[in-house]
Amino acid sequence: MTLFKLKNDRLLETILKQEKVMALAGSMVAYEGSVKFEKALLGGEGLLGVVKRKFTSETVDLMVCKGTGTIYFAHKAKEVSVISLEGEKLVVESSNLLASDDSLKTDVAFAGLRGATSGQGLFTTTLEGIGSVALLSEGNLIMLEVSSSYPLCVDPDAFVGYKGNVRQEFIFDVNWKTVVGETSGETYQLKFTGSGVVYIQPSERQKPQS
Amino acid sequence: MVAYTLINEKMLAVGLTRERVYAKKGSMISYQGDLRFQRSFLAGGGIQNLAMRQATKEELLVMSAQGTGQAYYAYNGLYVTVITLEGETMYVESDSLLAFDDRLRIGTVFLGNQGAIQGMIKGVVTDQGLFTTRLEGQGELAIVSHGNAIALEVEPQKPIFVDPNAYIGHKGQLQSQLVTDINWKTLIGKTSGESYQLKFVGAGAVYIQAYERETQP
Repeated sequence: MTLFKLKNDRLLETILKQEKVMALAGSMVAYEGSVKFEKALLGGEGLLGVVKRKFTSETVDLMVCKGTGTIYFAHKAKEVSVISLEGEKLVVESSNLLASDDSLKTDVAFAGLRGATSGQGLFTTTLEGIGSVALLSEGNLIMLEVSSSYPLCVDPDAFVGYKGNVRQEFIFDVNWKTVVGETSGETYQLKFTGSGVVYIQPSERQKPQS
Repeated sequence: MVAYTLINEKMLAVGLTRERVYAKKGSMISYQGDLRFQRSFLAGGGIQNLAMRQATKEELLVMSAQGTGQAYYAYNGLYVTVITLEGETMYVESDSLLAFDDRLRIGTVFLGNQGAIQGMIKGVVTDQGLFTTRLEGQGELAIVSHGNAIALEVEPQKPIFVDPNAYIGHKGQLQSQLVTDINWKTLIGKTSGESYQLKFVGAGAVYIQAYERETQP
């Protein structure tokens, strides 16, 4: 298992001992030791995963870093958080993924209708197994607990990921005010039920210009 | 003596007693006391240095503040780090230099090795040029960075590789070299995004930021 440490809140330090780590292409800022960087053609999820990504235009450019040494990763001075998985499954927006342990199984999952409004694509990356994942967020990543008696609603643009036994639903708040354009700006939400944690960031992604 | 104090992680105060400080153009946010601000062309480097900057397009737009009082500097909400030089030489990207004073000598140097490929890389890849500002002497300087600047120690047997776009500066007895990792995969466009690195060997510290400057086409 690869060691993930935070050098500061925006810089991830990864120590490799003849191991592999997957990371966002271009996110290496410095390294020492003997490490090779290569574009990952298969993001650890096999050919089917690649086909799914192509099909859903869920593009995430990954690279494989392998060897022995210390690598520092960062991306656009965004905050970095390390999450360790102990056999759980983490579902995360691909654009928030910085690096992941090669021991984790990755795949692409259907994330519901939310993509249609938030412009983030309809699919999300899933990671499963034992190992660490580093996530990017604008502002500190916040972890919110979801329990069966206490569902949680989240703005799709602030949503980063979730883990545990959580179900996700898409809810609308459309009424005559929304239709005539007097929206509060909070018309669509993601509702989570079950038990687990949801990760959000204190920033709302900009919607792509149409 | 010119006194550098961090008011918070993004704001620098410089105390002057009939002295002069140079700072990035447009970075002054307030001041107290009897200070005069002026656009500065020479910035302690002399005419030769100015000519070199013109030729290399390594622009360092600075203004000077002179007098007695306190000047407050900040730039685009970037993080500020104060670095003390004790007779060492510091190389810093002009973009990242926030403030320095007359105690330090300043010049422009070429960082990285010469050659056709490197020339191409300099222009095409980093867009900032590998010409860097050199400061030398005894005193302080302030740099700005996206996120906190991190100093990575370099030891003789442990070279360090840095992404040119995340590089801010370095100090100490270090040799730098631009290394490339160009192979057939890079040429057909299947790059990991990490094809060019600055390699540092020797003893000293390399400053990096958690941010990669955009490379412009």
